Amino acid sequence: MLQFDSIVLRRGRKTLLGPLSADLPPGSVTHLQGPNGVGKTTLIHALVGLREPDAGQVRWNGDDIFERPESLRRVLCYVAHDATGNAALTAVEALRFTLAVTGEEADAATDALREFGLTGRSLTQPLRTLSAGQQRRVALARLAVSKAALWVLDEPLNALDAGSRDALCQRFAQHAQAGGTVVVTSHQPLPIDAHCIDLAAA
Amino acid sequence: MWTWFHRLASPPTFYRWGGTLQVIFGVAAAVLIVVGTYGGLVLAPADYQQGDAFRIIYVHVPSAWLSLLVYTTMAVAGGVALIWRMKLAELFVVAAAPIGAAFTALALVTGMLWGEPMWGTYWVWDARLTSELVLLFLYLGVIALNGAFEDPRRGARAAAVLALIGVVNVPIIHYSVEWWNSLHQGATVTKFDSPSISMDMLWPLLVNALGFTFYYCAMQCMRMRALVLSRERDARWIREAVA
Amino acid sequence: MGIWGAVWTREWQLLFRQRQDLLQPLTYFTMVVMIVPLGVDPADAVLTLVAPAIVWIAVVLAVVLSLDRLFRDDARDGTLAVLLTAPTPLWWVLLAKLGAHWLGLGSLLAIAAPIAGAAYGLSLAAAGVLFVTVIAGTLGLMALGLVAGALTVGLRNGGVLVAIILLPLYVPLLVFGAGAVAAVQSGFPGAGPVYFTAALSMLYATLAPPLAAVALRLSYD
Repeated sequence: MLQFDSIVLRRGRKTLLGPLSADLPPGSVTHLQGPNGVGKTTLIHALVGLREPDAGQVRWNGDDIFERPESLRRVLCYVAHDATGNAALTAVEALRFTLAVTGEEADAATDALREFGLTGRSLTQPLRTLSAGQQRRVALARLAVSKAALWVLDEPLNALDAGSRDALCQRFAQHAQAGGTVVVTSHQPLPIDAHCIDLAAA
Repeated sequence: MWTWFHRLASPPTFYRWGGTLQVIFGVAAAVLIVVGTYGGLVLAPADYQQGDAFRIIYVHVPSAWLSLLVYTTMAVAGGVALIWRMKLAELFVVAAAPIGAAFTALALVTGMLWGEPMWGTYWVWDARLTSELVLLFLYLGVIALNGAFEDPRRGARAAAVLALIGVVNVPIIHYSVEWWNSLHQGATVTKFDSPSISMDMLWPLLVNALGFTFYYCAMQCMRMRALVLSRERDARWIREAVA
Repeated sequence: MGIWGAVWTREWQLLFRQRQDLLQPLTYFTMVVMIVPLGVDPADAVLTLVAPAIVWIAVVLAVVLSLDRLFRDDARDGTLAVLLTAPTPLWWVLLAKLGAHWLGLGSLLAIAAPIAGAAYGLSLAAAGVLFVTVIAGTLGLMALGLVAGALTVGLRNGGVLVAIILLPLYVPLLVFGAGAVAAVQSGFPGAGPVYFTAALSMLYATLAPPLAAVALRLSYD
């Protein structure tokens, strides 16, 4: 279970967020809401271990993730809001790399991309020739293969059309039903049941 | 046991006992430097070859020694800061760098001032002076890297990493510059590690070296306390401590 | 495929598809080497004397310029975020990056350097030693550059800062690398400094990946 306990995030002198506490149990989909600039990405960085909170602790199964980062990384699938992969690589190459480096099955890349609606030429052309929506789907295609229990996604719905958005949210619901944990930031509402944390009120 | 150490090393505690320490160090430094300088300028006999010009070693040599000592302590503090994530160790690194740079600059300037009457030129590319010059740039790199970050904690830790790489390199640089010097047959002029220096010339040097070290300790306390004040500006204990 | 294989494959794919990352430093090297004789008396005696230093300094400058590509794109396109949150040991990934960068650019510079040396009038033996010291030394230069790049990733004006940080650290490699060639030119044996260059490079290449991993984690924004 992912928990954050009285965490405070500062930017320079100013306190951006906090103190904030929450438990994100398995089987939950948590939606971190708030307008741009409120600190969603900063909070996500703290949750995945990229940035140590200025106060408080983030815990995975009881362990502070900054003392024991390995325990979190083994079960984490994190998709950043600007994740696109190198523009010179093809979709298949980019996904194979991501899967191999996170300990997943690299050979499942092509099938995963097809599941996310990328077919034919779009698989073998450099990413720079794909549309923003297609690039987003390449970055998200990991989810089709990932065995990770914890999914953390920063603004995954950006640049996606309505159909893709719904399909993605269904995927989140299925992952939660199977016992996984999903944490999502978005400034739009999610079309599925989710526990909302409004960061603007924090 | 570690909790005792951590409590001692917390910023408010350091601010208190650092204030006392800096006075003690400062007084010790003043006394030693006065004694050492008097001994060096007045009591020590004139050198057989160099006359009175050699007396600049009483500033030059301690500065050079301090420039290396400060870098080493800075690197050790950097290691502590990275491994144990101690805030105070991070402040140590940031505070020490300009002091070390100043000592290095002092060693270079006094070396150049010594060079003029000795060899007729202000700068010689001998091993010692060149090593000191490279050391100065190492310090400047640490200062520049620390200053480039908006977040002072990240800047301090980056400076700590750089200080660690630098400390591994300092002996390597030293040796390589000496080798370079011997290859191109430069003048090995700065030879005070030659065993022929007599005791009545040596003791003021050692006294001054000790005095400079205490001066560094006093300065370090002052700078670290100032950094503590600036970093912990919004904390409650500051108002009570300063009032 | 293993982690090393994945990183290695990707680095080479990127080097081949963005050939300017290799060609630009190489061009810069050539231009520096070409420009210096215009600033001095191009008499043979003068040029041959300064050849080891000038060629080596040109190598150093070309390497410093090339360091940008190590982390810049990865920071921008989210690859760094993946690497920092993946369960793979980061130092292993960075070692693969260093290896690809070295074999890609280092070998090109090592081939270009003796050619430049010949243009400066170096003897065959000296040019040969130049080749050896450049291929050995660039590993160390790039290893130190890996750490400097990791420390400055995400900083606004990282390029100049990297140069300020690196140049004092490069002194030993420069001294031994150029010194080996100078020694051979004067008829002294060059084996000692060549071994030192290689030894330093090995030391730096061993220390750099873990230190760069620490640096990357603390400077990531």
